[in-house]
Amino acid sequence: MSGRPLRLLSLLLVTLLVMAVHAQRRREPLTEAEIDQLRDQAQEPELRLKLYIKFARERLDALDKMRSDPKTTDRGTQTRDGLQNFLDVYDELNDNIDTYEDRKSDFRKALSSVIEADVEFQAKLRALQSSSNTNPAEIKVYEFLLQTALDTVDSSIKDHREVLAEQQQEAKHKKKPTGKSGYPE
Amino acid sequence: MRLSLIALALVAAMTVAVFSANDEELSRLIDRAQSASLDQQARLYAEIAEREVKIADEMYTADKVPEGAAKVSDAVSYADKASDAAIRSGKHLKDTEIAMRKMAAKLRDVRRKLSVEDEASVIAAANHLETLRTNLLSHMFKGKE
Repeated sequence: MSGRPLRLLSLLLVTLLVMAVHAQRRREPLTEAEIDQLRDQAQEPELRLKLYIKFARERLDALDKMRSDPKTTDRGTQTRDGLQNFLDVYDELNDNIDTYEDRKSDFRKALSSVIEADVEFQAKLRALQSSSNTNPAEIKVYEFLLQTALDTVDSSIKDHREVLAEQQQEAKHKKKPTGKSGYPE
Repeated sequence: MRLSLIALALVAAMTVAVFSANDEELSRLIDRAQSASLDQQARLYAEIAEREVKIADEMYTADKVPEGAAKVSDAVSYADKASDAAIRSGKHLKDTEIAMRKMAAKLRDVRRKLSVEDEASVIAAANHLETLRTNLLSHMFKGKE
C-alpha cells in the first residue's frame, strides 16, 4: 500500500477512535480533576459527600451565571443541559448516601451538611421556576427537567432527614451507659 | 491463632449466608416478575435491575471483576425488560425512567473504581440505560402531544 492511502486510513482510524472515546464518555458529568478528588476520598463518607455537595453547587452556580449573561444564546437548551449536569451529580450524591446507609456507616455530620445543601438547591431551583423574565418557548425546553430536579430534591430532603433521624437514634442507643449487670441503667 | 481462624470462618460463613439470602430473595422477585401482569412487570423488572446493579457494585468492590461484569449484564437485560413492559403497557413510564437514570448514575460511579480494561462494559451499560431512558422520555412526551 502506498503512503497516502495509508495515512488516510490512519487518520480515519484515529478519528473513529476519538469518536468512540467521546461517545463512551458522553454522559460523564464530572471532570477528571473532580474524579481524582473523589478517588482520594473513597473511604471517607464525610469528605466524599462534601465534595459532591460542592460539585452540585458549582453546577447550579454555573447555570445561574449562564442565565444572567446577556451574551448567552439558546438559553433554553443551555438551561436544560445545566439542569441535567446538576441532576447527574445529585443522583450520584444520593447513590453514595444509599451505599453508606447500607454499610451502616455513621455519617451524621455529613448528612447535616447534605440537608443544608438540599434546602439551598431547592430554593435555587424554585427561583428558576418562578423567574418571570423568561419566555414560554424557552421554558418549554427545560421545564420537564426542572420539575424532575425539583421532585428529586424535594423527595431527597425527606429521605435524608429520615436517615439522619435514624442515625441519631442509633447513636443514642449506642451511648446508653450500662450498669454492672450489663443492662442499660 | 485458633480463635482468629474461628472468627475468620464465622465471618466467611456469615458473608456466604447474606449473599445466598439475597440470591434467594432475588430469585423470588424474578419469578414474581415473570408471572406478573404486563402493567406490573415494569416496576418489578426495574427493581430487579436495580438490585443487580447494587450486587455488581459489591462484586467489583470485593475485586470480583468477572462476577461484577456478569451482574451488570444481567442488570441491562432486566432494564430492557422493564423498559419494554413500561412502553407496551403505558404504565410506570416515569418511575421506570427514574430507575434508569439512577442506575446509570450508580454505574458511572462504579466505573471510576475500575481499571481501563474493566470499565468498558460498565460504560457501555450506563450508556445503554441512558438510551432506554431517552426512549421512555420520548414515549412519555408522545402521550402528551
